[in-house]
Amino acid sequence: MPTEVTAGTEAGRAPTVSRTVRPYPVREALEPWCAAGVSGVMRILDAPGGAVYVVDGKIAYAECSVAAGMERLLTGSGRLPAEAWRAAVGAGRAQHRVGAELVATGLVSQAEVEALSVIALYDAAFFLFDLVASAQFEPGARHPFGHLRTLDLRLVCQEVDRRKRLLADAWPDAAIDTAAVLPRRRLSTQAVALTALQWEVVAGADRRRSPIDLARLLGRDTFTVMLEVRRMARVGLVEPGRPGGSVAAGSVATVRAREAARPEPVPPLPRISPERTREPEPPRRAERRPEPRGSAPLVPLPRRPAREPGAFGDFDEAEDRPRGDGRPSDLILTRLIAGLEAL
Amino acid sequence: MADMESSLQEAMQIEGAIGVALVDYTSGMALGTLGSSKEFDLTIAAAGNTDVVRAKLRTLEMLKLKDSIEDILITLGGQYHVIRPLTSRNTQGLFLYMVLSRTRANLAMARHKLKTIETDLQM
Repeated sequence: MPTEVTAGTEAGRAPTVSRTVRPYPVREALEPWCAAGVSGVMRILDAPGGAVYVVDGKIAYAECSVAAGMERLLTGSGRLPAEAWRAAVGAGRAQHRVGAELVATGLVSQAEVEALSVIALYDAAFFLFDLVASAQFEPGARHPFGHLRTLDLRLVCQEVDRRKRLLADAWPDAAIDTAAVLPRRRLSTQAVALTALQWEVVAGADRRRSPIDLARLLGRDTFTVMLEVRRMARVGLVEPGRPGGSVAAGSVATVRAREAARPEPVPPLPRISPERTREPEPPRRAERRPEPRGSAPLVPLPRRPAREPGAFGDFDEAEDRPRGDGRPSDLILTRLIAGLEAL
Repeated sequence: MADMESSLQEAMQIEGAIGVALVDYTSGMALGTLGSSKEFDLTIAAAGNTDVVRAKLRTLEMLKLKDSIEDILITLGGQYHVIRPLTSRNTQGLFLYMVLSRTRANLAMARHKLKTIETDLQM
């Protein structure tokens, strides 16, 4: 359990203050807040950026710049005119009831809005939950859309894991998600059956757009478009082209690179950056040591530049993560001591 | 106009109902479930049955049958599993998945009620 969350209050009591935390896996950073049953928002400060809304300890909504939000799902798909969306936002934003305003117009049903909010939540969670990022929790904050359905953190984590497996099973190379979708010009089969979404993807592919961009274009959630493209790649209908040039695709590529870097059991890179040694350690490993607990909140938080792939930091996580016993490694203790001395 | 929770609750009122889920069949994700238990994890069932729906839709397409699935019935020794793809434009890509006890359920009645629930959901 991250100490930085409870460091501002008495340990073990429900946290009440917002606090900037150091880079940390988002799903683990959410745990104490969910366990304490609080409401608020965890803002992810590092790229690609996003927010996870918690209501009474359950996940109510999540958003991420590369994932589908309610606006994309409703207006990007042509389901709802953009003016209707803007009107509902104007009417309901201040009272956190944009969703209720939309339902009140009669253009969408309550069930549909709920379903879309869950789709948006999972889409963002997919990109955010395994991110090792700086985050900040603001208690009490609510999403302007209003919170319709809330889900257990455990359930969201399970779904995120299932999605990763699903993608890996369909096509193992994650690079395809950010590469241009190239429909094959000649097919080896006699007959082809596409799902509606697969057809939309092929129709929208212009040899530049990546699955990330196509999801945006079609007003669909990013995950399902990535999945359909991978499925089509497996049966030889499309192939990955050059890396997509869009900002969103680049952002996802960065996230992917970090994810890929973490679980690899490669030897740690030599740490040469002096700033690196000053960086406070993930708190779980430090919990048994009395001094970092007290001093942790005072540590200035060195922020990595957002665009840096974070190769060094992520290798740290890789080597730390498999230690399920909670005992700090020698390496961490050495760095911790070095860090404290540097202060 | 029904919200998701009350539609699912209505489905659970069907005689012999064990569980119900509203599932997105592109991703296999359950948007909402009722009646999930340790013995019967509806989230897993939802993901697995997605492949059933996808396979059947693909088969229809390859057979060039210009028709749509109203429901898919899977009969087990002790249970009925009814899968009902939602058809209106705004709920396309979703299906209702219903688990019924074979000894307690009236299949015709259950299918009829699911149809009503679908209509409410699509409003």
